[in-house]
Amino acid sequence: MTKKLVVCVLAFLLFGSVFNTHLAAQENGTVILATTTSVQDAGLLDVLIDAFQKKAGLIVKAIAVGTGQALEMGRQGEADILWVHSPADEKQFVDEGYGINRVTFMHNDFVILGPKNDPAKVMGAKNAAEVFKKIAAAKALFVSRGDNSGTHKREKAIWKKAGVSPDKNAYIEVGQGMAKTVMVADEKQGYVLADRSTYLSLKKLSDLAIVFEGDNELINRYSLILVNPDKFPKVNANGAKALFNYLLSRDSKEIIENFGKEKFNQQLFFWDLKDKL
Amino acid sequence: MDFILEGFRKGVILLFGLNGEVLAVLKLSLYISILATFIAVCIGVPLGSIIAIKKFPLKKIIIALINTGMGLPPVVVGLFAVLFLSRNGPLGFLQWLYAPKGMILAQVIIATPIITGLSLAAVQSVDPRFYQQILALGATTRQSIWVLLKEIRLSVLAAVIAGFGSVISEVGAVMMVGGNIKGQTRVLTTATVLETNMGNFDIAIALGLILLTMSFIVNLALTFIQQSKDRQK
Amino acid sequence: MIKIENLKLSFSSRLNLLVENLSINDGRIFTIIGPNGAGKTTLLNIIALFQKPDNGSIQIWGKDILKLRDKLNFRRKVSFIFSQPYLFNETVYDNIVLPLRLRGMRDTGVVNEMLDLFKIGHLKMDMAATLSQGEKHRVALARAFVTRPELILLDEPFLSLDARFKRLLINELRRIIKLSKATAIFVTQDQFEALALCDTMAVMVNGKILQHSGPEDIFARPGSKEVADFVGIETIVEGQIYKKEDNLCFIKVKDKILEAVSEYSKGDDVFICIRPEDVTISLPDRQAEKHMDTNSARNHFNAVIVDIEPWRLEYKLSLDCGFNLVASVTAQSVKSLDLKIGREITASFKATAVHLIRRGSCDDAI
Repeated sequence: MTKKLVVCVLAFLLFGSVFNTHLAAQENGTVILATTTSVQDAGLLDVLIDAFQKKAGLIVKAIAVGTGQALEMGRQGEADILWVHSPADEKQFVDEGYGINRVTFMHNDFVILGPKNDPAKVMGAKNAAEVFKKIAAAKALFVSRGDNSGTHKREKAIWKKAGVSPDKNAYIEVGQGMAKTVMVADEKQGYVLADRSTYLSLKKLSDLAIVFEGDNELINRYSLILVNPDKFPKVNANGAKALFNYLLSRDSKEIIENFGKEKFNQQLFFWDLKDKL
Repeated sequence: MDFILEGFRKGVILLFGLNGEVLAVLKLSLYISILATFIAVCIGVPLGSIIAIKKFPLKKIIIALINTGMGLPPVVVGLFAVLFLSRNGPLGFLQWLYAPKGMILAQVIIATPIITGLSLAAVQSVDPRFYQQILALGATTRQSIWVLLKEIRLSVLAAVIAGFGSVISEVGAVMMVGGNIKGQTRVLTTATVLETNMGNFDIAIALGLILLTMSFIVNLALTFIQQSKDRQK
Repeated sequence: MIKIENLKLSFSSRLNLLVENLSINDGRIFTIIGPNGAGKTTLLNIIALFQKPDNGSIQIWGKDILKLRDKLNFRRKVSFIFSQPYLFNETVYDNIVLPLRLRGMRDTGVVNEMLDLFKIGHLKMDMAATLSQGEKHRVALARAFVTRPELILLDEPFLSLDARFKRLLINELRRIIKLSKATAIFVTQDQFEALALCDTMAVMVNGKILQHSGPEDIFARPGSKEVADFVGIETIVEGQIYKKEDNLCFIKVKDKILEAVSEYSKGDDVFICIRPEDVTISLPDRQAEKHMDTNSARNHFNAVIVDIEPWRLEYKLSLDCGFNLVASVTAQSVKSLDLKIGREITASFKATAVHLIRRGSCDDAI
């Protein structure tokens, strides 16, 4: 019996080593990218990273966390490059010396979703702030990400701009990803701020409708920031730079602009960089 | 209801269609959890046996610690593992963060107390005279433990099964330590979370069912070994 | 030679084990009897190195085993037989061969020898769990002897066996122990087991050895009240069956003849045990021997009362009828028959009241 056991174990370890050699060979070129869940959940992250890894032969460890956590990782030097969407915080990050070469390069947009019968009568509002004002006034249910993500920060900014606070009893903080948050809003028939791509992928499953869109406030801009290698010597500056350049390249532009067109019949992400590639 | 059926359908298609991504995720899940369980068994079973048999000061306190470890929240293990393995952490030089090795480490930490505690209980439940009988037949301490464990094989395998179950199904620690990176550290549990977040509930259900099926197959194999002795009773 | 000196072990207020001086000759079967909790098992555990005493020394084969560095070597020369067979969930063969495997030795036929010796050859490939209690004990014994131990420790091994099976096994075991020339220390609460399997005997009460001598000595002349309390006041004498007619045995005890019912054979050395309440006292009758025809009791002896003392709710009469005999009588009988020391009376008991135990001699190895 012992012999059988030993044989099984050796076979298993041999099988497993297949994983490690593949990775070990490229251990030297590892880039840690801290990014947001919205980019991953849309599916865009995987596509771009796949393309880059094939081309550059580097390994990218793309860690999708909330914008808040991504920036914190940058502050600790635990990431080499950030891809986030919270302009105010990003600016502060760079000002404090943690990041260099901040480039805002693409955007998508948010939409405000609500129940089809629109209890707060927000349809026809002129801007996002007005929508929120009406929701607060009607004490209608609002479902929030509640997790310091880029989406959540944007939501807070709109409340601020509107100058109102939602009714405490009509406000739910889910603390989870966009899809779950939308599903909770759907279940409870409340209003929710969501990015368009999540809305489109959930359209079949959810009862909610777009009650407002198109405001400048709802434009969601994404930036790349290199973590300052002078401050953190352990950072893979070269690898980060390579990924940085790739994401700003024509190849990347093509992938980003075409992403989702087939599936949703519309463009989800828009390129912001002037053509200086 | 439709969801679940759709999930089944998708699961079968993904699995038998040999979808590359799904297979990679599946292989990695099994590799990490089986290896982690194996390491945990190598540490936990002898450790639990020796603690059960020997007398030493603070024995009760150590056993209480092990029992506490059995209920260790995996997500807390993950958190501490990340802190230790991060670039700034004391073990940062290992570069095990966001890599399978780190995930295996986290799972070993989760499974070992469970396997130790259950082995400990199994050995303690044996008539102490029985252990003396083994010694009386001329066994060294090492031989005695081996013979004893063979006799209580049923309980030891139950410990292994429990240990495996605790890690194959775990999501918090592997998510934090692994980062759910496609092609590198994405396992069935974290992939399920991702698909759910993306709103692809049918794929999420499919992955969940694949996970259950794989877990069942591994446990089936273990159970057959465990119960084989019973046929002769 | 085994020499135990100043062995002390105390734990909890209950038991103190104290053996000041005890010697056992090689090749002898030394039996310790005593009530529950007397410390007999503890003594065996200490010799087997399962428990540590507080102080003292045990010299075995020239070394103090309590101070040994290489305990394994010593343990491998000793076999310990427990009250439970503790077999493994494997075949009988695998159970018996295990001690060899543990020592890295190969089976060169010795397992089959043991199977034959203990008459379990037909069970060789059976799973241990399927055996009867008696068969399990035999396997445990075979396993204990397979390594040809030099010292055998037996801790009430016959506890869970029924009487008939016990008798058979004890006799076989005595023969096998003698064949192996090992020294044995046997511990039990049962006096009759002890009689059947001993060369010398000791009584242990409350952790102390109260008497250590030949068995007849202990039963006939208990050295102290505690010993007497434990062994009781039964008559136990040695004799030899010199004639047998059907089931009736004629036994020579000193120069008297006793009749007893037994399946033993002519020529057997036996211990004769008679319960005091089975002995009837009557006024002296010169014609005692002639009562055989008018009385169902086949044993009648003229006796002299050597001692009278109160015993529980009655009186114990120690008699000399050519051999030691103990009877118990009520206080009323003492009065009505005017029994006192020196008085001559007739003692009678039935042949069926005589309980025989076959006695092995020291060199018994047939």
